This record gives sequence, C-alpha cells and structure tokens, in this order.
Amino acid sequence: MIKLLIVDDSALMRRVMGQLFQEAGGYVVEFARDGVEALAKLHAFRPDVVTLDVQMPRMDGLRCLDRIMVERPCAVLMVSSLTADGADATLEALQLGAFDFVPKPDRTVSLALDELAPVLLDKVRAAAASRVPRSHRLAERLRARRAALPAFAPAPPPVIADHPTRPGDLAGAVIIGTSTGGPPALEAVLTALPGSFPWPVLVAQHMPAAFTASLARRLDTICALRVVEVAGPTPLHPGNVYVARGDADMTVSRRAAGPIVLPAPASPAHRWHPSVDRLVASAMAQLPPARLVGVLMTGMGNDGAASMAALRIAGGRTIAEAEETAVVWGMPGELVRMGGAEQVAPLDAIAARLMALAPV
Amino acid sequence: MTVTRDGATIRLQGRCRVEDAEPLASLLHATPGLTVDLGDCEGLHAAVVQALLAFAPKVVGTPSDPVLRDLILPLLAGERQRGQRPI
Amino acid sequence: MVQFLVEGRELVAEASRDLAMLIARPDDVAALDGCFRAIHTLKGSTGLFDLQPMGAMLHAAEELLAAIRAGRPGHAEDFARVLEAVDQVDRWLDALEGDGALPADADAAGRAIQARMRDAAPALDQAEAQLPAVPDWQLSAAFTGLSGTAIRYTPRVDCYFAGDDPVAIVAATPQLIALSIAPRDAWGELEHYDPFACNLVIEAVSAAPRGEIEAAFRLVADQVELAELTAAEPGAPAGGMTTRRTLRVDAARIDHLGILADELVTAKNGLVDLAIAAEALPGGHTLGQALRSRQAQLDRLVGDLHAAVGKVRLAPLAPLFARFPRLARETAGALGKSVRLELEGQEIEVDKTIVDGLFDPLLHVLRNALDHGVEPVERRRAAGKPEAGLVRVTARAAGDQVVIEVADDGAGIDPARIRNLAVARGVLGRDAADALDDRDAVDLIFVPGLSTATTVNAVSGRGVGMDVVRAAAARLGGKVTLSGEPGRGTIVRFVLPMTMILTKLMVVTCGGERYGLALDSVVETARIAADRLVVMRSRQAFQFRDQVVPLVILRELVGGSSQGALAPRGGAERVVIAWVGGELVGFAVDAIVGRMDAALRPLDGLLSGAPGLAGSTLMPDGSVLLVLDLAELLS
Repeated sequence: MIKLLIVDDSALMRRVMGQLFQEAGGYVVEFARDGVEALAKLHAFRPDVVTLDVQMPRMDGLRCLDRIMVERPCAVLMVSSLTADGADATLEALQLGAFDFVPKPDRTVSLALDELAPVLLDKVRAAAASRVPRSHRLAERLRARRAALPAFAPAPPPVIADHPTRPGDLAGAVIIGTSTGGPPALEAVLTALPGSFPWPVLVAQHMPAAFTASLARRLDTICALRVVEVAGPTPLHPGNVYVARGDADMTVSRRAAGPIVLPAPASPAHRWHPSVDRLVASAMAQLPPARLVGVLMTGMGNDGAASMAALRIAGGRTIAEAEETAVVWGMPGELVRMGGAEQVAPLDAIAARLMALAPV
Repeated sequence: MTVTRDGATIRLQGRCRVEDAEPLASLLHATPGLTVDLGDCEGLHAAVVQALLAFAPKVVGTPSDPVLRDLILPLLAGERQRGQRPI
Repeated sequence: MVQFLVEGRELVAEASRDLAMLIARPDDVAALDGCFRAIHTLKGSTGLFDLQPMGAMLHAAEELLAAIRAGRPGHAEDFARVLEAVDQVDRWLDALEGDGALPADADAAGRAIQARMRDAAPALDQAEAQLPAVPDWQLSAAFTGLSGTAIRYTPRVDCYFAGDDPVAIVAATPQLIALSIAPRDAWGELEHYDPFACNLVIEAVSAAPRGEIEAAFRLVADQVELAELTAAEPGAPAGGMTTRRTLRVDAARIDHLGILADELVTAKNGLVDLAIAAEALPGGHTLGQALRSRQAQLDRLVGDLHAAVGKVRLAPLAPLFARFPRLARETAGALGKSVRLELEGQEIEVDKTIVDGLFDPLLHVLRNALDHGVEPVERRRAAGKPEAGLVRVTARAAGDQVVIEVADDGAGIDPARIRNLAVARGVLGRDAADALDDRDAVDLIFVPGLSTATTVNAVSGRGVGMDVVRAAAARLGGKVTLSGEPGRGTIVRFVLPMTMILTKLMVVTCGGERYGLALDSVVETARIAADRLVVMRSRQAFQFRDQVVPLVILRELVGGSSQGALAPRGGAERVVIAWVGGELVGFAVDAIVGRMDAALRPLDGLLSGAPGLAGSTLMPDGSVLLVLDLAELLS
C-alpha cells in the first residue's frame, strides 16, 4: 500500500483526485486543505508520497514543501498551473527537493482529469518507488539560496559575436538529456561549468512549453554560461547553453554560416518531448560524432538511451548519471544497460568529467 | 526518407511531412540552383510548400495526386512570381 | 447557506439547459426568458451572502441577456460566454460546499469572465453581420470575375507546432475553384529562414455552401475570413449560401450515425443465413464454420460500435428533473396548495432525445398531479392526510428501459367519474362504458377530448390532454399508463427505452408470420408432447421441471385465426418458456427460426396503437419483423 497525502485547497480537486487513487487501488489516501494541515498530518500519517498544490491559503505549497523537506523528507509531487508564475514556482519547488510536478487542470476538472489521470498515476507510482530525499537536501537548499545572492552573480557572457565560427569549426558540443528530477540536476552541472567552457551545451529537458523559458531564465541568472531557450533557428556558439523549447523538439541543422539549432514540431515518432533521441540523432548528422559528448541524467523512461548508445558506437563520448544520485534512474539506467555509457558518474562529478573532456 | 538529393536534383517522394521542411530548406540554401522533382510526391505539408515558395527552386515532375497537380503545382512551377493563378 | 446551495444547483441546471438550447437555437424566446430568470434569481440569492465576485459576474451575465431580450441580436457565442459564467458559478458552489468560501482567485476569475462577456457583444455584432458584399481585404487580382465565397486564411505563426497543416486544411475545402498561397511577410534573409514558423497567407474561392466551408475550417475558425464574391456576369449562380452560425456537431449527424449503425447490425445478421447456407453445401462445412467465426467477430465489433454510438447520446435526467422543483413551487403557489416534491433517480442516463422529449409530458403530468391530484388543504385535513401533499417523481432503470413515475398522494381517479365523463362527452355509449373494468375505464383518460378537470384554470386547463402525453411517450418509443386508487393517489408511469440499444431477439413463426421475442425473457425452449398437457382452471398447462407452467398458444393471441388448435394427439408443441411479469409462461409457436440482435424501432402508422407489440425491426431480407411485448399480450 502506498500512503498518499493529497494537499489541495479545492474540495473538488481533493474529491476527484482521491477518487482516482481509491479506484486505482493500492493507496491509502488522506487529505489536507492547506500547508498547515499538511504538516500536521505529515508525522501522524507518515505519507510515502505527497501531492502538493502550489497555490493555497495560509501556507502556500513552496513554504510547505520547504518544511516537509526539513521535518520529514518524502517524495513530493507538485500540482501547478501552466502559467509563467506557475513555472517559476514549480522550478523553485524542484530546486527545494520536489520529486516532479504535474500540470494542474485549468478548466473543466472532470474533463482535464481524464488526460491527467494516467500521468498522475504514473508519477505518483514513480515517486513512491524513488529514493526518499535525504537530509543533504538541506545543504543543497542552502547552497541554492546562496547561489541567488549577489556574491554569486554570473560572470558577464563571453563575447562571441565578434568571432563567428565557420562551418564545421565547432571543436565539440555537449548534449544533455534529462527528465524527472532534471532541473536541479541541470543546475548542479551547469553552475559548475566555468564561463570559459569552450563548447556549446544543448539541453533537452522533458517539460511543457510554458516551463522551458522560465528554466532557461533561471539557469541564466545562476550560471557563468549564457543560457537561452531556443525559440527559432539559432547559430551554435561556444560557451552558450541552448535549452530546447517544451512540447516541441530541437534539432541540429546547418546554414551557410555554420551549425544551428532550431525548434521543430514535436515528432509523433517520439514519446517524450523535447526528444533527446531526436536531438542526438540530428547532431550526429551534422557534426562528427567523435566531437560530441552525450550526457543522460535522471528521468523516467528511456528517451536518449538508444541514440546515445549509437553515439558511443560511432565514436562519441557518453556519460550516464550514476544510480545513487539520480532521482529516477530510468534514462541513464537504460543507457548503462544498453552498454552505451562510456562513463557513469554521480551528479556532482559530471561537470568535472565534461571539463576533463573539453580543453578548458 | 522523403527528401533525397540526387546530383543537381532534390527528389521529394511520398508524403512530405512537416519535418521534411528543414532538410529541404537546408539543401536549397546550401546549394542554390538545385531542381526539385515532385514526380513521385504524394503530398506536401504546408511547411514544405512554404520552403519551396521561399527558396523558389525550379520545380519539375508532375505528381499524380490531383490536389498537388491541379492546385499546388501551378503555384510552384513556371510563372509563380505572385503565386496567384486561377486554376 | 445550505438552502442557497440546493437552490443554486437547481438554477445552474436550469440556466445551463436553457443556454444549451440557445446555443443551438439563438432565437428560442422561451429558453432566453428561462435562463434570464434563473440567472436573475441566482444573482438575487448571491446578495444574501458575501459573494461579491459571483454577484458581479452574474450581474454582467444578466445585463448581456437583458440586452438580447431588449432586441439586440443574440448569438450562440454570447450564450456560450454566459454558459461559461454559469459553469464558473457551479464550480464556486463546489467550493462553497467544500470549504464554505469562494476560492482565493474568485475575484480574478470572475472579472476575466465578465470581460469576455463585455467584449463578446460588439465584436460579434460586426462579425456576425451579413457577409460583406465585398471582401474587406485586397482580393487577388486573379480572383476577379469569380463567384462563390472568398476565403482568406492566415495561419498562426506557430501553427505547425500545433500540428496544423494549413495546405491540407485548404485542400479539404469542398468545391475549390481558385487557390493562391503567398508569404505573409517578406521572406527576408534566407540564412535565417525558419522552416517551422508559418509565414503564409492562403486565399481561395469555393463554390460550396457557406456551412460546408465553415465546417472545413472549423478548427482554425479564428484565423479565417470569409466574404461573398458576386460574379461580374449577372445571372451567374451565386452559390447556395446558407448561413449557419454554430459549428457544433449536429444532433442529426449523430442520429444518422445511429441509423447507419442500426443498419450495419441488420446487414451483419445476414451473415448467419449465409453461413447456414454454406454449411449445407456439399463440402461447405469448413467455409460455413469460417463464416460463422467471422460473423461472431463482426458481431462483437458491431455491438461495441452500436453501444458507443448509443453512449454518445446518453444524458442524465438530472438537468431535466432539476427544473421541476421551482415549477412545482410556482404551480402549487398559484393553486394555493402546499406540496412537497421528491425527486429520485436523476443520475440515470437515457438517450438525449428522450431527455429532451420528456420535459413537456412530464411537466403536464406534474401539473395535473398538483392541480387535480393533490386536494385542497381543507379536504386533505378532512381526509386525515397531512396538509402538504406529496408528489414523487422517480426514475429507475429496468433492464434496457427506464421507468419514470409521477406519483401523488391525492384524491386518485374515480373510474365511475371517468365512465360518466366519457358518456357525457360522447366518447362511449353508456353500455360500453359500464362494460369496461376499472383499469380500462381509467385508461380512457388518455382518449382525446377527455379531461377530468371540471373547471378550466390557468394551471392545467390549457387544452392539452393526457392524449398528448401518451402521444409524446409513443414518439419516444415508450408507453404511459395510469394507476392508483380513489382517495389514495395516482401514479402515472412512463416506460421508455433507455437507449437505442440492441435488443437480442428470438425469432419464431406463428401462423405463417414471423415474430420477435425479447431473448432476455426467454428461459428455455422445449418440445412438449401433447399428452403432457393438462388443463388447469380452463387453461392449458404443462409440467416443467418442478412447476406447472401455463401454456399460451401464441398464434391465437397474435393471429386470432382459426388455426389456433393444438398439435394433434401424439404430436408435440414447440414451446418457448419465458418470464412474464414474474412468472413462467410457455408460448406455443410453430417453429423457432433463430436469434438476432436488432435495434427496435417504435411502431408508427397503422400499428402504433396495436396492443402487445413492443416495436419493429428490419430483417436482413428487408421485411419488417414485429416484436411482441409478451407481458402486454397476456394482460
């Protein structure tokens, strides 16, 4: 039995979500109407998984999450609206240790829930099976807060416009694919890369469209590298991080001036978007595989594993996040199982491995 | 593979989907003067039509699909400067 | 507050129903008045509590409706926006019920909907005005001289990401006579060409009716402009322009789908005969078996399809029932009576046609119950009844039928009075009237021209009799009966099909005719030797297992012919043993032909009044199969 605490201020949402899990079977469900009630139930009920609404009266979801992670860490699934505000709050929540999030239905609850139900069930099941966040989350949180302080202000973006690269001039490129648990993992890797990192970094993080702009903005403020969301054809430059737009794919292509990345309509051939597999395959078609480094980090499913295994065979370098640090060891685990992981590294070592590969 | 280059000719074969627009644009941009052969084409996504209008290559071949042949092809072939011909 | 929640739900249901009608038929005055009243009442109740956002939003909705009532043209879009507000109220009622307060974002949500309602009006007036005689965009020179409807489609820049293919959409437009595709903005520097940012303007001319063109563009309606083109040459056909405002799925299309599914069922049943024929051929056994297995597969799929089509049309009775409390209050108030209304079974889902068609007959029966059924307070007191009358409207599922009853605890119907009335109104002669038993006498109430009201009043004396109620029930494929006891009350019972669902039938022959029997009532078929028949209380019967089962000679019942004799001694009867009204009855038939799935259709025309017939269905060979209602046959 999975003990699930549903925290939501809407009676209707509590009812439909409760019903969903009761019908699914295998759950003991309790409810809380706001953060205060949730914390009260945290110790008595000892939930395995908490679903937490972001907007609530009295104590909002973020403050509640912060307290949960200090008092009794467990897997928390954020339920958040697909708005710009919601995106910011959700990214912060992931930073604070939330396991993952699901978009909140914004219209007719019963209709939207039909679409949401399988996602919700999947993610709660995965959350229950994930490792409980450990107390070191506290240290991570402190670090995250410090990171926002002015002392950690990013270095000015490298001046690149004056040095246009010529076709094929890129000495290398990094492709990072990740899903559940990805935003804090990306932050850990990208903040640890220096402003002088010589290659472009291409990021495919499975996310809805409304979230990736926030993610890129947030990363841009805390990283030494310049981080942009790719909204149209964009030339690749060293030292820049290119975040794929959500709900679409990103591919590498070429113009007269050199390689570019551009968003492409989500391909029905791939299950998750932005598709890591499609990004890696398109990069391999445009750039010599030996100059590519693929990094596959935490996430459910297997996106990226097949293409990175192919990259490895073609002479590229690949790094899979180690099981002990991955929130969900699905994608990197699959890469390891396929024999496609040249290196397996814990999250905090990945940036160092990249710098060892790149002539910084 | 619906977009293939064969010497100075790009062949569009089968149903060209939205994702075919990028390789087509990339080829047309890289090598001006290529000819596009629609003879084996069964359908063009708007994004592909748009790329053909934008790069304005010489278009040859007569597709068998009536919509393509009678409605779309006249806009792409021959005097297409304004793209407006009654059918 | 509890009262407000209950009443609020009713009003929401009422307004929603009326708005749904208005969206389909924006000129329905009754529905407009109805939803205006409901929203006005809702707003009034809102004022009793601190629900400012709800009040403000409802006020805006009321104003919009008031403007339409005052003569401004009302459009489906207007009512869709009001419906949005009503839906919001429904969600807020959830919140009030759960938490006792409106959600924190109520103010913002309410304002957003108000803004949409305000914006709706002027913009739509313009858009919905008669089609401009001349397009308000620069028409392609190539299009001059053409007649039809000019289309200008400017796809959104990110439409490829949404999965749209604008060229495919245009190509699917019926009767295209001209097409042009041009860049919306200059192509610019091709080095920066974005292949997935749509930069097209598509113009076309179609000779198809406006409705068909709108249908082709229904998913991108916000990106399309249409205008009439008149031919330069006088006398050229201008194209049949029918204006249709809504692009929702037409109920008629769903009906058509239903009919096709029905016919598919019939066509599929033809395979059984084919399989039998194949098996009879020399060496045809394998082929026959294969056909049978295919038929079984098809059987299942068609059944699923039929059920799915039926479900599209299912709707709960709740919104229908929700309208009755207020109507009952008003009616009782007008009559100076005190009445309690109880509703039950509103969660039951039935075919939408039936839900829609039930309102008038049910309302009529309800009014009758309040007017003629429930007695004035003094008489109730004298009879030792509680002062407040009780009317119960209940629905329950009974197999594939729904039974809806309107029961009152009033004076009931006196058969003697009905007999007298029938004689007085010239419906029957005195002898014929006296010969009727009480049940048949009460049933006279459904005869046209007979109404038990001795005074005509504002409530029920509107020239609508119970005959209209019976006709309405029949139109819905159902029946209505009346029962009760003098002094104890009256029950009006509607028995209606729940869906146009498939009925499993057993096909038998009797006196040379084929008939269908509902298979779910059939227990067993047997051959009963003539010498096993016994006579009990002047009826034939036989021993079946451990009980004595009465035997009915079906051909006597249906044919009334002289061939009603039993099988000769020494022979045997083919008997279908079925449950009828709670007991086993054997029906002697000539032969059992087989079984089939069929969609029953209510009887019409000559047969519509025939007792004992449940409906008809089409046989694979095109002939009509009459389906018997065994219970009614025996009654």
